[in-house]
Amino acid sequence: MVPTPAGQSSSQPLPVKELGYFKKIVKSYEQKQYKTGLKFAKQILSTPQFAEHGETLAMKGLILNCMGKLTEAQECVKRGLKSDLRSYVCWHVYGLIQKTEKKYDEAIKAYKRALMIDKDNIQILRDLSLLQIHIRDYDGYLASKYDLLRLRQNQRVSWLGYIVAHHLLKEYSLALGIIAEYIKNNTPSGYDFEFSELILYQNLIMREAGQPDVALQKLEENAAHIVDKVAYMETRANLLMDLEQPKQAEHVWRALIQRNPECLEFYDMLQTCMGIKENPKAQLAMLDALAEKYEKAAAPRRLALYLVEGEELRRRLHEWMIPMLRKGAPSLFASLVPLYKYPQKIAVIESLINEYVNKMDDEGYGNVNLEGNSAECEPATTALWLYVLAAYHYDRVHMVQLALNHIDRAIQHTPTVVENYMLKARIYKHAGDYDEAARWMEEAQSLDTADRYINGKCGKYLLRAKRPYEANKMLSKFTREGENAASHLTDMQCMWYELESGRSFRAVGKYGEALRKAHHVEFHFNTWIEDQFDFHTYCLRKMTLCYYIRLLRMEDKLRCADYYYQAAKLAIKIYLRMIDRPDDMNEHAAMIKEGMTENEIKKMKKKLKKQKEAQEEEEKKKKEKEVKEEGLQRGPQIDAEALLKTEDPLGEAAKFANNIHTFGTPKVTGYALCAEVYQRKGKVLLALKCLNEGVKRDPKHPLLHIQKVKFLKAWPTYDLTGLVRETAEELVKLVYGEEKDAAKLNDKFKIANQHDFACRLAYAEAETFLNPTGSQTNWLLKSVEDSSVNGRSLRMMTKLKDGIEYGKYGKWSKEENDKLRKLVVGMFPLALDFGGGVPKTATSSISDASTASTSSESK
Amino acid sequence: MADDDEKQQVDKHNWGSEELSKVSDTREDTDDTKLSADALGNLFNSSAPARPKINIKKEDLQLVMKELELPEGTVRAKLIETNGDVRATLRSLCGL
Repeated sequence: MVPTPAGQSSSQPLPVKELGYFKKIVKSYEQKQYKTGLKFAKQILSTPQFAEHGETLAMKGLILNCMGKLTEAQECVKRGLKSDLRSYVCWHVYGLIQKTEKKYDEAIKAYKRALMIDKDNIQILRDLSLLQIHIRDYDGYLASKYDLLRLRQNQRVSWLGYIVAHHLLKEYSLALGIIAEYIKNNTPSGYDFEFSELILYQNLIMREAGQPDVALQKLEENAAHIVDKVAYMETRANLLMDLEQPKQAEHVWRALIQRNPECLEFYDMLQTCMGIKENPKAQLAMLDALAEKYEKAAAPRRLALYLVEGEELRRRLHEWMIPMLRKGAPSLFASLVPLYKYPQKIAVIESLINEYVNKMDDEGYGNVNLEGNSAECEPATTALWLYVLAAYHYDRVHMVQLALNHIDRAIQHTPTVVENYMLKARIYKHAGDYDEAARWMEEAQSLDTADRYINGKCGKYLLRAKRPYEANKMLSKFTREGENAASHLTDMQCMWYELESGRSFRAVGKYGEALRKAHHVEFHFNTWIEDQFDFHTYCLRKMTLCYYIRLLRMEDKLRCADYYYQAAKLAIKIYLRMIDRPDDMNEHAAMIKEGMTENEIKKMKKKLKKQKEAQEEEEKKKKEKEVKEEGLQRGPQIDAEALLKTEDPLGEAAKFANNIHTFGTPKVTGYALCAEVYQRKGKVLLALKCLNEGVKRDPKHPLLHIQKVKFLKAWPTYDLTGLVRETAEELVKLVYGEEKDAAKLNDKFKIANQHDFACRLAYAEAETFLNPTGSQTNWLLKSVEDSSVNGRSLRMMTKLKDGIEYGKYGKWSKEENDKLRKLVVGMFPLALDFGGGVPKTATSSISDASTASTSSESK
Repeated sequence: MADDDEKQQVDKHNWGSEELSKVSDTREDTDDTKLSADALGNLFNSSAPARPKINIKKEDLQLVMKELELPEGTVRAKLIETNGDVRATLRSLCGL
């Protein structure tokens, strides 16, 4: 901030001595010597006649703001503005303060007021243009960039900003005209990275303007200037494809594959060029030829695996797996995962693995050769990695016991491999015994306490086992000393932690804490949006314009990220629960209902209170320490209790929902969730929009179906008029076709999807909604047992159980719940949530892996 | 209290970006373009920004904002894109 005629511009001119002080304030501010600045401000303000000097107060406020004293700063700046409304300094500073408050509209208004007083103030124009691009006011941005260019025609950034503004407004011919003129006069003689970027940016605009021919011509003309060769080649290949010259494009993609034979995208584009996307035989021939050419390349061999079946698959898998088993390549299983979509291919993998294991058993580690030539025997580790692979495989196909058997053999073979214990934990996790899973992860962690990855995993597993305090203790081994692990991980914007601990809190009925974690994620996303600010100037100066445009577009859709979706889902479901089951929000009530004695309840309450107090004490200390050290508090300051006390849970849920559907998430479940929120809120058009978007993606999705039924039942009750009604009716047609009856819709869904468990659950939930007195219990229990019903996974069983507790499937008696529990444990003996799991006595000897393995085998 | 919270959130950001602000400070850039005065003048005159003016009715804006719970900026931008046609705006924002 450089107010040029400092301290004189306004209705309160300063005399020479005070003016000197004022200039020093400005200088101290610019050099970030805040304390000195405040001293000089005091010099002026302590003179009685200047006690309310506007611009001095403004500068003082600005400095206080930088020091983190926000309340004081606010007050100071407002006082300053009040006493000197004709000063551009006061308005500018007021705008800056509004900006830190994220009141962007207010800030822009203030900047504009300042510019009315001093219309050619470069600094204010810059600040204004930054805010305008930040809120994507492209018209305003263009106007500000025009003024900046008018004032600074000799500066490169002025021109670049002006070009970018036109580009963003899709004024392509103007943007291209200016950039061409610029290039004409500024072509460097030799190597110049920035010029190279500019050429690529010009090319980007041409392509977006729909001029691929010009773009290609210019690209080739400037080939010598472009430093980023890969970008050059990729752009050229894409342009050739746009111009329908696939033969030439093919050459370029082949050249790119030569540069990097592991880039899957290149292979994909090559197939498109060759027109063999629908022709697996030709694809295979192409991949085989490339595999022969690039002997060490894995990509063509791997991609070929996904194209073949039967004996051919078996042969290729054999060739693929043996070298990786010998080397112990950790990615072996991951490379097979795409094959698990097809039952026949799974069978091939399984038979091959079994063949190897049998061979290993028959011939012994010392003599075996998996390729059948007896001259050489396998290295000692082949057996180990084979058992690991087998364990992965059986885990994937939900054959828990076999998976455990194999991982135990692997552990027996080499007890020091940490990853094996991790895999064992994972198998237990998938089988539903989270306690046992956490136990094995702790075992893995104890084998390598210096490994942060395992530490993180261990924390995650402890959270899954509903042990948040132990998890924090574990994680604190790698977070800042003397600080709560949770707040450090929040500082580090550690998303998996926020989500996992949020879910963990939810699982124990601490909905306030869970909500707090979801809001942390929201906060992190806001921070990332905010972080753009630094790039608006930086990228223009560094000329990285293509990346700048990509950044802007990425930020516009930032909340499409899965982490955000997960957090929003967590939050929305809790807010809906607040409405449906307000008693759940009392965490003690949720914990007591398990049939405890009076004494136990008392004890537990006492313990909880103690825990809470200890935690609060710790937080308080931490905050005090921070305030002392840095003069300000970091991180989101969100209070769990306050979140639970919201007056408008539906409104809060809608805030999250808005961010899910607006950015076009690919997730059907996301639209179903949003539709529920909007339907309850009475926002008919929004509910219909979400239903329609969901239908576009997967019309048969069970969760979407439930919302469709609920909405259709409510539809006749809405009183709409005019344009809204017209639009709504159009959407209804798209979503429901001619179907007008919710009950019929539900019955049709039942008949069409009777072999799918998730669909049966959806039908039952919708039916309970339509007809709360009818009981679905027997039908659901039969569905659990019915082997002709697909998708009866542990995950779905847990959903059923949670749904029963929530009341989604009507009233269930204790006997009925017991029956469900028995049925599920019969299918999933390790499912902890249903009373299953590893018998506690059998697993007491954790340090001895072989003992544990025999015990689990004998079970 | 809630007010305080918000301000402190802002701090987090400032704290994080302090390092970056060193690279992106607002120092004056050097005069480094070599455009000839003529070419420059021509360009400048020919490309004075003249954006089409579109009349937006306040009630249209309000209607879409209320029905679709969108911020003013988004709705305004869409109304400009559709030349002020509220029907087209509503349909487009509903995914039609």
